[in-house]
Amino acid sequence: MRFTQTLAAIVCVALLCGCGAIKDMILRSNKSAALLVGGAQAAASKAPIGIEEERAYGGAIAIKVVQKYGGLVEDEALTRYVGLVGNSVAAFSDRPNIRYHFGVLKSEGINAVSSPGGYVFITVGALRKMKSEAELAGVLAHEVSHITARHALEILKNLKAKSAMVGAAANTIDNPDFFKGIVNAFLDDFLARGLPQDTEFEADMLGTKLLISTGYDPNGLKDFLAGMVVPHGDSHDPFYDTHPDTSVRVKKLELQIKASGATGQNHAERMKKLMKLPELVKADPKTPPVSGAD
Amino acid sequence: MFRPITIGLITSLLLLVFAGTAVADDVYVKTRYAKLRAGTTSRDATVAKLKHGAKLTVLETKSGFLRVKASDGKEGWIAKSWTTPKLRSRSKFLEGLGAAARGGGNNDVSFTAGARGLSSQAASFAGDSPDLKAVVVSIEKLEKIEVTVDELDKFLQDGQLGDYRQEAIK
Repeated sequence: MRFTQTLAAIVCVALLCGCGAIKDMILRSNKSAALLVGGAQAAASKAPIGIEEERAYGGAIAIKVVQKYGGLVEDEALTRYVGLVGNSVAAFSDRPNIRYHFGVLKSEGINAVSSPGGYVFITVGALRKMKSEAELAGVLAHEVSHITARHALEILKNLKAKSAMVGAAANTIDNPDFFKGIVNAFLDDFLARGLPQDTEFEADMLGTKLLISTGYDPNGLKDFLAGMVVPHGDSHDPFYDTHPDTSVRVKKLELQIKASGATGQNHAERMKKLMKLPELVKADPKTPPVSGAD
Repeated sequence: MFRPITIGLITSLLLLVFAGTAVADDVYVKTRYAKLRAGTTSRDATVAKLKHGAKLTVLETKSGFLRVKASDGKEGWIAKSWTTPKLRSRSKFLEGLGAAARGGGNNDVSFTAGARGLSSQAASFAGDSPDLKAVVVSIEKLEKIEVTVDELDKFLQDGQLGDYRQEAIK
């Protein structure tokens, strides 16, 4: 009976809040019941992060990402082309009405990074390796999927909850100390290790679904990754430090693509025509070089 | 005999199950925008341009396409995969907030929903660091490079993507 009463209490609170996080808690009822009585402050911190708050955290993370990767390439034609490809896949995502921004990072390393609120970045080095627009669309769709699936936001939400549990009183983005504390705690882990491996696999799957919805060749992301396959740990490129074993990702995508039976546009020629890359780029001297060790 | 707590539990569960469930014959546009066409191919005339969240009443289903009626009474065909029986409640809630803040509302969220520019809290993250301030300026420049609906539509059309996919041409 105690269990029933606890479950009823959780359900009622979930209905009152209309909160997905609390609904999830129902599925983990006993453990979650303990969390629920952990205090109103902690419960508030478990609430979904709103769009303005997401943009604040995402913007701050974007600042540090851009700094780490040596700045942005200021080439409007290149940025516009990458933006068109990125917005094409984002338009068919689960969160199509966020304002997405697609920037090119001044780095010859091979990587792409996204940040909540719609910020997506790809390095010149990654663009240089691409053989088709479908590959570019695939990598951008992977990053868009991190945003639509709220992978980083979940980590930020948990960091907020932990901070509330240890007594941060004014846990809002308007409190500069709290805001910086959360962003820095996130970045410490994110810049060194990236997102959890399961979220990378999910972003691969969702990104490839996006390719199919948009009408691109579903092999785009898979082909790009296949070109990156090296024995894990044998490269100093930061890509390998922040992503799961590439050969495993490729195999999973092969199964997904085969099951879908989808085909689509590759647009190798259009990319060749529209994507003019700068000569070898060097990071701004004021910013640190990209290193797999950091 | 049912105890009040049990009745409350059942009522709450029923409300939870039915909360946010759309009427079976209604669907919503789940992509950023979509065209309602006179037929099921990309050669058919455009009847209306629909935005994300637009509510449609299903009149007929035919091999991956739906004949629907929009809220303004216009009827046409749309790919089923670009619609959803219900908008995700959290997404609708969050994005709806953004639209409402700019005088929008309903489910008719605009293409350009979302505040413009780096948020003040994010910009303040740069503090007094000249390097980070320079990064803020570069991100603000990036944010000014906007892709309009027309540009995106032309890009998709040129590439036979989205609404212009070959599969839609029969």
